[in-house]
Amino acid sequence: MTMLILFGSLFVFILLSVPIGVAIGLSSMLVIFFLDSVSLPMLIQKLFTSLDSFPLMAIPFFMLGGLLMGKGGISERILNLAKQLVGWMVGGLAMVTVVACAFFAALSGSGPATVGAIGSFMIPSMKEKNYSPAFASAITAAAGCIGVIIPPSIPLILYGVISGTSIGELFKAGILPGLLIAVILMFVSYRTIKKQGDEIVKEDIDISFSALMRSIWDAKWALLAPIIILGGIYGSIFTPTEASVVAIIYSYIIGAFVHKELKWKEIKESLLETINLTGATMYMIGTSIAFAYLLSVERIPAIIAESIASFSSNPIVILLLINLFLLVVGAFVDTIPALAMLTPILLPIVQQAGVDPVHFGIIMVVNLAIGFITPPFGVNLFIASNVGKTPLEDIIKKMIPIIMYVIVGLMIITYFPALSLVFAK
Amino acid sequence: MKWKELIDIKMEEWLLIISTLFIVALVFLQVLSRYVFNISVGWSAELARYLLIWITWISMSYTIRKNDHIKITLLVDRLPMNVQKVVQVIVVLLWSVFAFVMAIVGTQVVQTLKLMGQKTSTLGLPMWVVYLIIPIGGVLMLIRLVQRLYFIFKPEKIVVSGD
Amino acid sequence: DDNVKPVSGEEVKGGDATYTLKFPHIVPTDHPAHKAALVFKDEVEKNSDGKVKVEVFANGELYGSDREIIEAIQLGNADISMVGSPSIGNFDERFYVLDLPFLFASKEAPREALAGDLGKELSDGLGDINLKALGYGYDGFRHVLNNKKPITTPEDMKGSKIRVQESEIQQDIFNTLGANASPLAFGELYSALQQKTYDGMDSTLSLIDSSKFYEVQKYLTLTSHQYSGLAILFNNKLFDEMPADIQDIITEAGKKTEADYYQFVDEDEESMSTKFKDENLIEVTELTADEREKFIEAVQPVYKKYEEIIGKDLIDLAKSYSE
Ligand code: NA
Ligand code: NA
Repeated sequence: MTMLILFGSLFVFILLSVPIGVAIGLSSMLVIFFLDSVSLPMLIQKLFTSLDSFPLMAIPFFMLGGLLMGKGGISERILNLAKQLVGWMVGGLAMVTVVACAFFAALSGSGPATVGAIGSFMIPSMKEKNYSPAFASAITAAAGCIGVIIPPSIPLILYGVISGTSIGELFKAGILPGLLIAVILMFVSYRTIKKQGDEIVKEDIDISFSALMRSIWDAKWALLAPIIILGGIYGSIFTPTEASVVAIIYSYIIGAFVHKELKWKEIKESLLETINLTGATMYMIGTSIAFAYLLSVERIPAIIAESIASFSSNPIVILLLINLFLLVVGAFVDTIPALAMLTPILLPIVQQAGVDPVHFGIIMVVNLAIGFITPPFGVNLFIASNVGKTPLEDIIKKMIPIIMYVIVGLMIITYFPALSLVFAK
Repeated sequence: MKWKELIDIKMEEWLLIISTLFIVALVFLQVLSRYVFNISVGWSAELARYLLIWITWISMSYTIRKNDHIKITLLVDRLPMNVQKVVQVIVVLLWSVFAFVMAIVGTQVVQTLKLMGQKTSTLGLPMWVVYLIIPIGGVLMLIRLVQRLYFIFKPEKIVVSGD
Repeated sequence: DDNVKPVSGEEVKGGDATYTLKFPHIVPTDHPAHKAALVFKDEVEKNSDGKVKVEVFANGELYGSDREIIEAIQLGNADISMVGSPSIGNFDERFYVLDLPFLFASKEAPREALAGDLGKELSDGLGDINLKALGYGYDGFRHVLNNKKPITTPEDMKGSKIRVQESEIQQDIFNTLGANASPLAFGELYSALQQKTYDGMDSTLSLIDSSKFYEVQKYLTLTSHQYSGLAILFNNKLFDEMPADIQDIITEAGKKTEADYYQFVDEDEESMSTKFKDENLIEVTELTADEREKFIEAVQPVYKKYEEIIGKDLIDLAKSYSE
């Protein structure tokens, strides 16, 4: 009954065009009204504490860094270089986006931060080349999922702590599945753009060795950005969250003093866009965590898990059902509460069916990463919509086929444990 | 009407811009002091976090002004114009319920926290002061929602841009 | 206060009050604290003939931090939990006494202190902030971990980048020893140690095991520099409203939980240190009495600073159990 109210009202509110974060909050309030065991101060507490997290800062900061790179000429020079390298390929720019996200994933533990950083300059670049804004936003949002599969990854750390598996092994296990998703997304880009055909502006690019060298030289300061960020993280100078701020400072220095393209006007625009993103998306984390709390208190996940376990003992069937279940959960609930809620319930079931706990960690995180791009609650979708200035429903339409391909990848990851375990064990 | 724009938009923008720049500087100094000078202050991360929470809730109502909230208008777009207006009014009213709860229950929570004497871990600020942003955010949201209601019936002639 | 109505699952069925208590905590299910929580649940449910139900939520499923849990108890959305003394200190500064460095000379001393006058002193003030201590407990002592070299003297800490919890007293301890201590979110800690953004940290043995810190740290020195104390906290207002027979059941269950918890942790510590050594997971160094004495001397300035905040009487009371 509670669940009917929770999901029924959410559906109605969203269709009425109530902002999604507010809709989630209103449904939670409605359920709290009917539940004796929970009171409204819970919601208030969650609106505050869910945002009380230092790593969360990486989302707006990486986006601000990305915007400054865009307006300060860093992105443009990287793109010129990328065009020399893959510009002749069909869907090259979308592929560059995917590669950039995979690359960025290696320094960020967060999916939304990846979308903010890469999307803030790649989506405008794709739009410029006549990519449909919806597809440009969708492919970036999807590629952002790689952020939590390739290490470091905040969700994998949490899974490791809850399940008692080695975080180091989980990190190693995430590499190939992350790359697999990247390859799949590059394939999707190729297919989609091939179909779109002539609309994409084909440029006469002077592809020659000397032109390539010139692009590399032009991009020297720009290329130093990832080196400083990656080097800073792996060279033990700062944490990934702190790296987001270093990216801002570096982009500012290069944009303002080296390229001399960044004036106060551009900086102010970037700041306002970042503030806009913060206001439109971050508060939702609070309402969605209150929503997840209500599911937990009502023991909904446990009830569903029990019925999965009683349905079959065949590992193939169990994994299939769990994948389905996780995809549905991921549609509504953020990764962190979903992991806290479900790991202890699902892990014993799959272990009984003979699934390796490290492998299962990857399965869970890939499923929940897909949750970043499934409506109604998909943070990557929201950030891409905000950064790409594209209506959510347009992105979702373009996203459906992409999700289908990614699910194929999920199936490969699920049924070929070696892909995850070859490095880990 | 310069002063009108100042109160309506500019004040909030400047407040948010300055706070954002402040956090960026704060976290950068944190890295710099730890790495270059090998000293650390314990409170910088805490201050940055609490400021971001304040920025989030103030920007949330600022984003109402900008009409940039993320929503699905698939169904509403297909309705006749006058029905659309009715739906928009309903949305604002529902949203106001949310804002109202933030303001009222938020105030109750702040009052309780004040009695409980909790302090933040490193800055030693009273926790209720930090929590104040929830009721403040609710009130700011309510003000913006009333404004939104007004714009539903009297759409803005000139779009006020951010710059 | 009447600002927030308590909603701790009290339902009236045929004149007989029944209760459903929410028991959230933040550790995994194989941690001693979870086993102790289940002891509380079993005791209360058995002795109340099912009139009181206890729902335990592990892994931070409901609330992600001790601070948030205490706040939730005060606001009436959680009823009981086990929370660490640094977090309780945010609510009642006298609890910082338990965090003072090298406060207790043995593992028996804090047990006696908290069962005796120190425990009574600390509990007495909690009622005003809607908390009630049903008992105390601990997660072991905290020890120093490092990636550079085994720590045997305070000089070994010089310039070492140490991660601490968001606790001023902890930061003061390490900075007084000459380290460069700064707080970092727990979620970022593993990666930060792996990437060597920090050289070291401190932790209890069970946390080293559950979070696999031995994968990213080379040396463990058994400093026992800080007692990782905790209290079993209950919603005071709810307790006062309960009928006397239920109150007794809760109180007794609290005592049993405390006793069993100490035992679980002792067993756990025993198996951890053997595991670390036998499986060669991390190089373990023990301090000689002389080496330990040097550390104790070095941290005395911390006592000076906190005398004012905590009160000298309370500190002396705590110390008296080690004499
Ligand atoms: Na990553
Ligand atoms: Na989703």
